[in-house]
Amino acid sequence: MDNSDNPDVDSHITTLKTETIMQAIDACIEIVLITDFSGKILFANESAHQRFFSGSETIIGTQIWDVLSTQQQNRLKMIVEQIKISKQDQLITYKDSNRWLETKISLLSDDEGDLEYLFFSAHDITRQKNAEEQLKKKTYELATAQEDERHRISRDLHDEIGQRMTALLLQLRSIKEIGKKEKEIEPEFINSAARNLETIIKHLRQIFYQLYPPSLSKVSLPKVLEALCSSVEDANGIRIYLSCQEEIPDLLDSQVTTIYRFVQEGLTNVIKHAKAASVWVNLDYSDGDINISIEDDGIGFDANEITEGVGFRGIRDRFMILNGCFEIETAPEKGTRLSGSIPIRKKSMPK
Amino acid sequence: MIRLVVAEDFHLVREGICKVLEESKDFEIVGQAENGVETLSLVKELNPDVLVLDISMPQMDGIEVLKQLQKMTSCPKVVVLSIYADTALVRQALEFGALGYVLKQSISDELMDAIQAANRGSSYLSSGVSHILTIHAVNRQPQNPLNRLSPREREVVKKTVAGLSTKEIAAIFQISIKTVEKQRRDAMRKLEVDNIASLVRMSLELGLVTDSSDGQAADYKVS
Repeated sequence: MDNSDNPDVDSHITTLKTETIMQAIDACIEIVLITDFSGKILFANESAHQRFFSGSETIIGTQIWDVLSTQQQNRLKMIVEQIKISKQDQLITYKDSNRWLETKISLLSDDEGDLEYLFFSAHDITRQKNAEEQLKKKTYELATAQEDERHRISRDLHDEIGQRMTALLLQLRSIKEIGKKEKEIEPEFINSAARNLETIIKHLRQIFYQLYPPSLSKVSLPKVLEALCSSVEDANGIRIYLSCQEEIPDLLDSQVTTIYRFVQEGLTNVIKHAKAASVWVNLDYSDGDINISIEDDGIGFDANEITEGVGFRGIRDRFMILNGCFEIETAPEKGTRLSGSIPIRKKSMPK
Repeated sequence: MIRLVVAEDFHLVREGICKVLEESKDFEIVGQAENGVETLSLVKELNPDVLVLDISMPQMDGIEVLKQLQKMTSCPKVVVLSIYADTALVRQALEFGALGYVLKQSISDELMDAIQAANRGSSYLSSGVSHILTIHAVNRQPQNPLNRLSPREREVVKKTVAGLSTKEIAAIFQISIKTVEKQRRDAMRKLEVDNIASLVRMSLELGLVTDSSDGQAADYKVS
């Protein structure tokens, strides 16, 4: 910015005293340290004191090496030697006691231009590092889950479809052979091949359904949940009480899928682990949130002892992505209650 | 002769269907469509007796076609044809007025019967999906409304009727006030009441609480 036409600003800058600048450095959120080449600390701001010295004593006059581990000392000494030769700033990242610091080391010169001091400015990047770690972990989990899923589908396709198709091919060939010999083909031969093909179609349909229920994109969510609950009820002899509020606003595909997978995963868990007689599933819309819950009267579990499985973590992630939340409430012999909610913007909100 | 329009996007399947149907002298195929939009305009133009309708079609799917047909003053009877035995899809199709639902694997055995039935105004479900209606019927049996409340919802109602404040109930179950409010709202929706006084009356009527066991439900602190 050109301030040459504005004498006020200009004079303001020139009157800013060294003391004021020092105050600013002291108040700075970054750690600021100045040492001589031997590593003696000549200046340290408030953040540096808090970081390296929790007591009230000053660290000025002490050696910078004292606050570092042997390994860190050796690394830093090497870097300082490099800086002296190259005269280039260096950026280093290191971890101590669970905190990550990113530090810039520069050379400072005195009035004559001789290089005399080392200037350290550092900031805490623990949050960023943790987020990176978290992302790595999630990506790994996602990739693993995806591989597992592919493995399952591939197995299904091989066992249920591949094998039967092979059998069908053999059946058709033998029919052809019979035809060549101008013998009469027994209807049972053809019927058997047709039955085989019918079974293949049935299995394919199950695979489609598991991958993505076709109704999800064509039918309203309460109806899809009703069908899901009644088929689970039918197959497992468990009582499911589904209650859906009638007026549910239009939802995005991602929201519908998240709620569907929540109910699917939740019911699967009840069947597998809960030993429950009844399950209650609620879907409602209120205060701009779509809420879904599953409660059972089963054996529950100690939330401190059992860690969340991959399935639940996947569901939790889905809710997080949609800015929603996901909770598990349970205790031994107290049943389990899962709830999730997703904020939605109603298309025509009455003002 | 039953006049038919056949709507199916995959031409090999469409040809197969037509071949099966042409074997019978009872049917005349007056039109063929390969997407939902075309189906609607053919139906309007030709006014067939029965429409054989595929669910998965481009531009407009079968469910949407059914929805649009319902708006017409006179529309054909519909037999849905689908590869899916998805319960929700079957129910939705029937709700939108389809009379028949035939799985594609059973075309040769069942489609003609389904069309005949639809033409008479009767319904027909493929053997692979006919159980869906019985499940449906079981679910619709009348039941004690109390069963519809989850254990937690019952507790929240009991405590509410006993005069405990939302805050107190939240503290007992170690959940947030918002959650208590939500669970009470769920319970009220299930019992079809819209205020606390009716909730109390209903709870007494259903025997969820008794005057003696939970004390006089007189002082409600719910706000």
